[in-house]
Amino acid sequence: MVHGARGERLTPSVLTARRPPEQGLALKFRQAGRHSSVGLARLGVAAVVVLLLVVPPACFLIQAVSPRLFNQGTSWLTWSNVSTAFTDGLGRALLDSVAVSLGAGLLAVVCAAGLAFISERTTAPGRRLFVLALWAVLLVPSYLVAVGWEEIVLKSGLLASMGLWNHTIQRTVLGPIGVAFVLGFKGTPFAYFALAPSMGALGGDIESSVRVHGGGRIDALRVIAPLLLPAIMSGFVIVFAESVGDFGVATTIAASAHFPVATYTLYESISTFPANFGVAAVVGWSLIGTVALALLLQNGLMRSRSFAVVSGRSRASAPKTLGRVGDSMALGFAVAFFGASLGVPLLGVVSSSLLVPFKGLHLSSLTLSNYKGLLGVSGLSGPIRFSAEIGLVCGLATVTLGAVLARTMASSRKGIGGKVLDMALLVAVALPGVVFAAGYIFAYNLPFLAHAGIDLYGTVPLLGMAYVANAVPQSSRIMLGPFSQIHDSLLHAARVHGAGWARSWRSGVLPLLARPLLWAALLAFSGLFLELPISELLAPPGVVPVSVAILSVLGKANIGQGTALSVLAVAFTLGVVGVCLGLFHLLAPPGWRHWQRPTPVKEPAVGNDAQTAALPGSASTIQADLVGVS
Amino acid sequence: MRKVKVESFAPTTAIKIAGSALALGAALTACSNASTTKSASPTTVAAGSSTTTAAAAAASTTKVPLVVYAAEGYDQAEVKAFQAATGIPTKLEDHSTGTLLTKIQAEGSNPQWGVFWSDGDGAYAALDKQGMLLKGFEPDTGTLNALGQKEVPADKSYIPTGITVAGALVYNSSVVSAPPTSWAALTGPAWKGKVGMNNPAISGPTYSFVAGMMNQLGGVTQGEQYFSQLAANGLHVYSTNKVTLTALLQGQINAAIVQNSAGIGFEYKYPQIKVAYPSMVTALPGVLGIDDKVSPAEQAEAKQFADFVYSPAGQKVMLSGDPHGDSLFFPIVNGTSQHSLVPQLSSIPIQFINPYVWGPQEGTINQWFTAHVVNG
Repeated sequence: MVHGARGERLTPSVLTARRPPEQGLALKFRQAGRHSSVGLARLGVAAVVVLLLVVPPACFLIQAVSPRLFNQGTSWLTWSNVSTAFTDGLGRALLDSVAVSLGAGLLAVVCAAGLAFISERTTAPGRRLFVLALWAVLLVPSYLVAVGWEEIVLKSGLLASMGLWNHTIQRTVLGPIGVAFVLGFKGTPFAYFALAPSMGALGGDIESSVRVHGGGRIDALRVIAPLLLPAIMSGFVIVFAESVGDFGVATTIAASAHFPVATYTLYESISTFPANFGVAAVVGWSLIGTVALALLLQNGLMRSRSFAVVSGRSRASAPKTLGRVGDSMALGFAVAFFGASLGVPLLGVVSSSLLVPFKGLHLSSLTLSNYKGLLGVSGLSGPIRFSAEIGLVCGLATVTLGAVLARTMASSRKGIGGKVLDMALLVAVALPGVVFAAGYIFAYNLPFLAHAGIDLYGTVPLLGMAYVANAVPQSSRIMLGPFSQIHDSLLHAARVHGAGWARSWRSGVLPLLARPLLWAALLAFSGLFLELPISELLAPPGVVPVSVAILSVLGKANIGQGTALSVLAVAFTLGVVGVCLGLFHLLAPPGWRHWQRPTPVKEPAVGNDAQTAALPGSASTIQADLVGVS
Repeated sequence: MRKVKVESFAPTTAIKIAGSALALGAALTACSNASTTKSASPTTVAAGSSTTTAAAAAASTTKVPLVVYAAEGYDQAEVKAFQAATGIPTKLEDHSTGTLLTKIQAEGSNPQWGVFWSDGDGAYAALDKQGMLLKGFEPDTGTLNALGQKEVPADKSYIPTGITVAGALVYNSSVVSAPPTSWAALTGPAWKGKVGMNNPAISGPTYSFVAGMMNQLGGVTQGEQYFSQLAANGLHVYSTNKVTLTALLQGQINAAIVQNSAGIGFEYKYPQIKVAYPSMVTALPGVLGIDDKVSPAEQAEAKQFADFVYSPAGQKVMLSGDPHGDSLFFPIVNGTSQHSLVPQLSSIPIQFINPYVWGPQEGTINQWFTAHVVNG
């Protein structure tokens, strides 16, 4: 109820009557202007999404039933590609993909839940390093992890050098189980970033409420656990989608294990001559359908739920002290996970680059010749510079568009538009980069476009557009969690205190999102820097991205040099990430980076366990919760 | 120290334009303005979009960028030497044969290449049947020996530049003392689970090996029986030469069926690796084709490129550009001597297959191979 200065009730008509007519009209114009500018902005975003993310894949996928549209066949409408795809083994490949992706999703959720619990709910040693290590897991390409495991378990690998080679181990690792594990490890960071914020943010208020009403720890857990279901499902589905669309493991372990997966089938359809884009499109549709089903299942489970659990008044839970045994178990769990997902494969790759083949594991067989040999490779500086520059530009563009899309989804998930966008972006995660690349050729090399003066194919801008299109789905999904956690009350509070729209975001929300935005940009940069399928098909003649240059060198170098080059390339991206984080720590405003030092707040005793707890309750701590760091 | 050179360029301007287009979330129109980075694309240069005499005359004097799609280890050195010799601005797209064919096929009726150069004539025969290749041109800067003349198509729609062997048997001599002399031996128990080859659906040259086996065994059906037997005997199928040879080095297999130039290169780097030629192996010509759809100006330059390749200077670059890889070919231009690591052709039981018979079957044969051997 609104009251006037004298205490009388003010109805809308009263408010209107007290306002001068011109002012009311001006207000209406202002509001209309604001609404139209918001509408225009939304239209612009929609246009960008359509041109970047919808049209090119659609041009590719339509060929499943109408190859003649793009001169790839004689039929305007045919189902023959569907039958051909399944005759070629798509059914089995799809089942294989679903099976390993389900396994990967489950493994990732379990690992992520364990890590999130340790980092968010305990004082276990080393937990502050989890996020950094998880980002390292995320940044190392899946093919390198797969190759690393191969180097360990093969007959000529590290295990054999130590006399520990075993055929069963080799068959297990280089088979479906190994594929699922590698994909699960690679997906764990996604699941963690989906789970950790909820794990950290849910506890404080809700747990206190349970305890105030006489509930014990088990009761609190029973209340909190179901609230994590959306985060668990969110993490599971994105890992599932990433695994279904994975190319790195599909072309390494899976390809050599007589274990065909759908992405490899797609790869074969496109690589053969004549390329069968129609069959590849059918595979693309099947990938989309698989992920869409998973997404519908998720939405069904989460219907009518809201992700908004953090507001300006939210409090994180108090971290638990586990004791010596608990700390040891927590540490053991973390060491086992990071060892398997990062340590062992990197050991395999690095050892392969340092050992002389067939000489066993002796000090005398160690050599730096592979790295020294790379010194003779000239001409890599141009490609490195190009990829670093376009990675920077497209990384920023990706994170900008990704943030807009994440905010759109977070604020309108219950609307049709939000749901469609949500599903479209997740489905896009499952489409391999080569689908985007070929789709961009079909969409932007049409003769009528060239005649109209829109001659984009074979230009750097089109390459950049494809890079952004390929990276945005993942980027927006990563930022969806943090954006979903931002309650509108933060903005409302800023507006009530007189801040404009821009200042509300800049001062009220950006500090909370600075770190997720930075990480998303770094992830986009790292992915773009070493991106291959799009670079191969869309880089203009004479322009050599670093991944293509590396491939060229690998074709001529020996195996050890090739591995050494891969190690250096990944080390370079990790170095860039490290430098950026360091600069952020040094240069970002204090409010953006002091989140790691929460202000202890003394809370009153809760429930039967009278104690004084140091509960972090500042906004900066909430920010830490948002990125899963405590 | 061995020098490997990859192409460099100055990208800053392009990046700025890309940045402005992307950072501002530019829509298509804005991006199209930025496409000025596509410096004088061959199709936009088309002073000679019609094939009039005046246009052809103009084309002969105007230098437009020549776009070369190539999958040869020495292509970059060749392009660089050609540009230095002629002053024609030449842009190289250096990828695998499969990637380039995917690009060419996706570009469809709006092709962006002027020259396509790779190993294997089957794809060129198929492109010829689609009317995509310029017919009737032969370089006149060198003459072909008898071997080379066998590879020239009747309509002269493509130009052979050298010959390798599609499928040689590369083996680890530390575990194999007596390599087989026939392909049939590989189906025996002694080789169970010990042989690897590339997937012909991914590795273009491997299709020539598969087609060659079918050719010498009497037809597709007999060939399918042979590969079914190989699969039943534990054949490993990898994606490309590099992966298959890596498996050989890692001890996953004892013998790898790969292109002989890659095998000889490995033999040079790893002494325990040897190359054998069971009877019969199949010739794999390196082939160059000129786009029939680009402007007369670019076609004229493409012809100059082919002329340069046949010239002594061009042959020298072919032999030195990738000394442990694609440079290990059998020369077909008179006066060119083969690399010292390459064996005498007379010592190899080699056959030549008809690309116009086997090229059009590539899709269906690869489809069968994928279903029954790769996924079987």
